[in-house]
Amino acid sequence: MKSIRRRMALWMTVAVFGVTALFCGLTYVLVRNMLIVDFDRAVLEQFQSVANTVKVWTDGDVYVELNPTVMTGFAAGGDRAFVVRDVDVHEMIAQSISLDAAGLTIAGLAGANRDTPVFGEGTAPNGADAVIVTQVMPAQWGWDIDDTTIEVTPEAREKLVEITLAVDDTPLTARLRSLGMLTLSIAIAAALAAGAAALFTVSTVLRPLHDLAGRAAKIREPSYSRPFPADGPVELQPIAERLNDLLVRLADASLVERRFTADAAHELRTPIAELRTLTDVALRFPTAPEQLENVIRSSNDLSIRLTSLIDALLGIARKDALAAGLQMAPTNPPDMIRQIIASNAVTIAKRNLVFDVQAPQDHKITSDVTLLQSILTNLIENAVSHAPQGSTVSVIYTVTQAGLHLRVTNPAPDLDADDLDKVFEPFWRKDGQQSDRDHAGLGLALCKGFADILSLDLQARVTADQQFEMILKAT
Amino acid sequence: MKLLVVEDSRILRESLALGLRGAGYLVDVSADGEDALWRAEAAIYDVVVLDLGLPKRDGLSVLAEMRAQGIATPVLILTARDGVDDRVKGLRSGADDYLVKPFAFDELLARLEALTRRSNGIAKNVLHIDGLMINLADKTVTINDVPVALVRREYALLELLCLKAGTVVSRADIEAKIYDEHVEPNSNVVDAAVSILRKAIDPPDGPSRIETKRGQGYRLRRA
Repeated sequence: MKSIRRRMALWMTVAVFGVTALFCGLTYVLVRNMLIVDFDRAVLEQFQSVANTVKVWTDGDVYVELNPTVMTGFAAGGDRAFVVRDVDVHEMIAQSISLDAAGLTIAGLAGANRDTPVFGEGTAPNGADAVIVTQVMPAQWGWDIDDTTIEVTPEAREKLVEITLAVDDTPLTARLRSLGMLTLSIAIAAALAAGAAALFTVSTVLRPLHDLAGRAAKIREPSYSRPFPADGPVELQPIAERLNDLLVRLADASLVERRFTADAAHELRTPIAELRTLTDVALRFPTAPEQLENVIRSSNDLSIRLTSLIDALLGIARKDALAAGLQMAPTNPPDMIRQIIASNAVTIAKRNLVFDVQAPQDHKITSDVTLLQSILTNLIENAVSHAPQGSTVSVIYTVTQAGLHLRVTNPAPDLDADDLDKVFEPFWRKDGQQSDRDHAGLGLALCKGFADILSLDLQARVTADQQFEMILKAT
Repeated sequence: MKLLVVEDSRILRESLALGLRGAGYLVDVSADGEDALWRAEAAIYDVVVLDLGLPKRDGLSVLAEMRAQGIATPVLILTARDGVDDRVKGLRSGADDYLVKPFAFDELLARLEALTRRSNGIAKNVLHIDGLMINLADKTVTINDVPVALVRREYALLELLCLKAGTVVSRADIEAKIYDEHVEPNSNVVDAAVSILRKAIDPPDGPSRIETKRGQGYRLRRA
């Protein structure tokens, strides 16, 4: 069951029903015992009444002095009966009219004694189930109390009789049945009430959670408005705060994404505008073949720039996928650096740059070759592109305890410390220049992203003598 | 008409200059903000086509400085920034129009024509002055429905005089308006141009349409 509401309602119902059932059960047992005890007490009182009517004469004859018009239960058709037996001779002395009328008698219970009454079950004279009680006791004697002149033999005084009493227990059975029905009804009613109360309570208690879900459902896009109330139930406040924080983070991410998309669109517009105007003008004002060749060459340059820009954009877009699929292999970064510098030899010569390379012949590390190559290429080509004509670019590779440590330095008279926060931002260029550059302004952003994936630290700084330093190091 | 095109993209700058010259405009170009401001201060342009993302000085800063110096030349902003905020900011900074890259060259021409009409207080691209008709859009001239062939410099001179018809245009203004950076003007270029234009548009047996105001300049007569 996945519904918290149903689960809580079920458990609350079970708990309340369990407690109610226990209470009803105990109450039933208690009241049942009380009723039985009361009934037994009433039976004993009846027994006492019958015993009081069993008397003995001075000569030892036993008789029963019972008035059936008063004790109607023992009359013919009554629901109770007694039998008095002589203990010595084991003969019946007397029995109630109710038995005589029905032609029945009642046997005494085994184990009857003088100390305590013995209870048992049997049949009443009216045919119903009955409680039977038997006790041995001396016949009632009291004549000499009123008349002291009467002489009584010790035998008469000690005359023992066994009195057996049967009382119809139908009323008790009916009461016990009623008690059972009442208890069961209360238990069922309590269970239903508990279920309803549990549902209501759970619904009421969970309403703030429902409201929270409603607010969440209405959110169409991340925002900074913190839509989840912080003044709700104490238990939900942390959730509301976390959700609000999450939305703010999502809004931040969305803002960055939108800005990146807008920047990307903006970056694409300039070369597209160049291409369109170039071709528009060429079509509108047909030119000499040599000028047409310029148009074609410029179009080709633009297509190369656009390809480079799109490659860089795809590189950023695929960054997460690259992180998930790193292919670690042994590699030699100093060798990579030398190859990258060699592949830029034409540009280096064209720009009259001097390269000061200090690196060991070999330094084997394990890394993702593609990403590391991309980082090193961007760092070196960035220096090649931005170092002033005829200046010196320094590439110093050292081996540290942590691993590689690379510093690429080139003069940068236009850069200042404030620019350092921006050099890793996509599309950032000094002075906001958007054109006449072969670079899209994404190289260092890519480097930073790839360095993070490889757990390398990439930092930029401007020295006091206006040297721009990019430092890549293992951590 | 003389335009200043301020654009840091070499390809776009050269394409615009080529296309606009082909459309009959005289075009000066600039590749950065500081040079653009210097040119705007030094010369009289009919329209400045201004990019925003410029080296050395941002386009909006150039525009603000122009307006601060009282230079009222119409400015058409040409930029890749297409946000409403950017447009509002550009227009509120004193720009007269805003065109987002990439754009159709024809649309740029149409907007330039609209700007020049507005700045000269005319409603149509066609001007009629005493049988002379000049079409500012396609840069054609007719006299009594007969086409008149003019080279770009003489057309520019006629256009200038027509737009200021009835008023005297100084030699300095003519020199600034009809020569771009590709021409080295000398002392008699204006006289020579006026002379050539008179031969092209004057009636053979009547007074010249272009009146010389000694020491002041030239004036196109109204009928």
